[in-house]
Amino acid sequence: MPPVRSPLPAIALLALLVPAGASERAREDGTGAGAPPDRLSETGLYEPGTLRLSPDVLAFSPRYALWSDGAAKRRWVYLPPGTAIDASDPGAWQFPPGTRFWKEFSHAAAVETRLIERLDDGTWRYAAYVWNREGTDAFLAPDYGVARLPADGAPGGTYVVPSQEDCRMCHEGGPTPVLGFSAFQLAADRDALAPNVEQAVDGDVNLPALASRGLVSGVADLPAVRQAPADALERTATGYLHANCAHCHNDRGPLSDLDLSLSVADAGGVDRILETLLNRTADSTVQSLRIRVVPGAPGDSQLVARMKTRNPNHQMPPLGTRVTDNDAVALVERWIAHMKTPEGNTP
Amino acid sequence: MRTTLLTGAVLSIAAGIALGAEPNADDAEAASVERGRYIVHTTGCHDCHTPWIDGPAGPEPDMTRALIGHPESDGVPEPASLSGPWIAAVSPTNTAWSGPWGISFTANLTPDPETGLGQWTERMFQDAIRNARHKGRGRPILPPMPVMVYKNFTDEDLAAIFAYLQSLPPVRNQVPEPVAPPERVADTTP
Repeated sequence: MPPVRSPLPAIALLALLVPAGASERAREDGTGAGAPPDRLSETGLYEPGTLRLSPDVLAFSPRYALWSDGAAKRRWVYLPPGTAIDASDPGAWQFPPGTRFWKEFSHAAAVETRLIERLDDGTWRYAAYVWNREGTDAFLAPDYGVARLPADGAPGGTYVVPSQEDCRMCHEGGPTPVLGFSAFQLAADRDALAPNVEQAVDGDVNLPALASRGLVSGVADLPAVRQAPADALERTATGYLHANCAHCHNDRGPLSDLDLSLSVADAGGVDRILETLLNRTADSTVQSLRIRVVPGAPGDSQLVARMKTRNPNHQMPPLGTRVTDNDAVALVERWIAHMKTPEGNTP
Repeated sequence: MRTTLLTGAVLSIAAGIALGAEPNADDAEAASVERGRYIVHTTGCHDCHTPWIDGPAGPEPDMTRALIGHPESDGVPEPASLSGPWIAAVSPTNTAWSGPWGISFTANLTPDPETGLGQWTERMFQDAIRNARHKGRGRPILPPMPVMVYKNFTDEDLAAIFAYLQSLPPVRNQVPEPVAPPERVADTTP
C-alpha cells in the first residue's frame, strides 16, 4: 500500500488524534433532572454513613446471568413506597418512577457499581460508580467511561467502565431498559446447569416473593412467560442466549429488522429462537461462516464462532467482554451438536 | 374579462400562500432531503465514502461513484508497513485505511438493499453515529470515521442525512469487512 497520498481531510486527522471516548458526551441525557449524585453512598443503596444495605432495597439474582469476564455480581432494586411493577407484559415490565437498580461488579474487590434509575418524567438515567482502593465509597465515572481502569483480578489487570453510549446500547435495544429483572429471569425454578450464575441466597426476591409482597400487578398474566424447550440442554442454552444476546437481538427493538430473536420473551419463545437461528443466513461472514446455526455442526455455526472470538470486529456480545465465556461456548456447542440434522438424524 | 383574469390571479396567489402556510408531508420530506444533501456536501462525507481518482486537476472524489464506499473491485489490500513516526496509511482512493486498528473500509452509503444502507432504519443510522457501532449496536465503527464529531448532530440533522442518503440511486458495491490487527486475531481467535 502506498503511503498517504490523497489530501487528508482535516476531519479525518482529527479522528486519528482524538482517542475514542475522550470527547465530550454528545447529547444531554434529556431528562432535565440534572446529573446523578457524585457518590454511590448518596444514591440510597446504603444506610446513611455506612456500607450496610438499606432495608429499602431488595436483593435478587436472575436465573441466567450476563457474562462479564468472570466478575462476581450482586444486584438490588428499590421501589418507591406504595408502588408496584406493572407486570402485565411479561417481556416488558413497567416500573414506577423512582425505581432504582444497582449492580455491583467485583474481581479481587468491588470495582464498579452501576445504577439505573427511572425519573419522574418516565425516562431512564444511567450512572457508573468506581470504587476507591479503600473500598469506602464509589465515585461517579465520567460520561465517556474508563477504558483501562487498573483492577486486581480482572483480566489483564484492567477493567472497562462503560460510557453513557455503552449503557444505552445494551439497555435501549429492546422493549424495556431493565435487563435481568423480569418474569422469565425471576421465576422460582432455578436452572442448575446455567453458567456463571450466583446461587440465590436467603432474602433474594423472586417472582413469588414479589407477588406475595404486592410489588407486581397483573400477576394473573405472569404464567404467560413463554418458554417451551424440548429438553434440559435446550432450556439452558436458550436461557443463556436470552440473558446474553436478547437485549439487542429481539423482535421488539431497533435491530428487529435483522429477523434474529434470541429472546424467550418474544412471541414464539424458544420456537422463535430456533426459527431465526437454524439454517438461516447471516448478513455478514465470520471466519468464512455465513449460517447462524447449522444443526448438528457447531463448527459450521457462526453463532459459536462469534461467541468464541474476541476479534473486536466479530465478537458477540460486541461490548462488555474481552474474554471468551468458555463454559457457555461448551454449552452451546453441545446443544447444537445434539440438534437433529436436516436428514432427521441426531448425530 | 380583464377583471376575471385579475381575480383569478389573486385567488391563485392567495391559494398558493395558503398552501405555503401549511406545508404538507411531501414538502417536509423534500426539505429534510435537501437539508441532508447540504450536510453531506459540507461535512466531508465524500472525502472518504466516494472513491478518489487522479483527475486533470489532481486527486478528487469520483462523483460518478458518489458515496459507494471502498470499491469492491479494489479488494482487500495488505496492511501498511510503516516506519518512523507514521501511524496510518490510506489507499489512493481514500477508501481503505490501515492503522493500529487494522484495516478499515469506508461503507457504501447508497440505499442498495444488500451492500448499502437499503435495509437500515433511521433509528439504526442515528444509533450508529451516536454509539460508533455498526447498525448502532454491533462492531465498532473504526477510524478514521469521525463519529466523535458527527455524534453531535441533532436528531433532526441525522434524520435529514439519512433521508438524503436513502434518496440516492442504489449502487451495488460490496465493501469488505474490516480486518483486525494480526496480534488481536492471534490472541483471540480459537
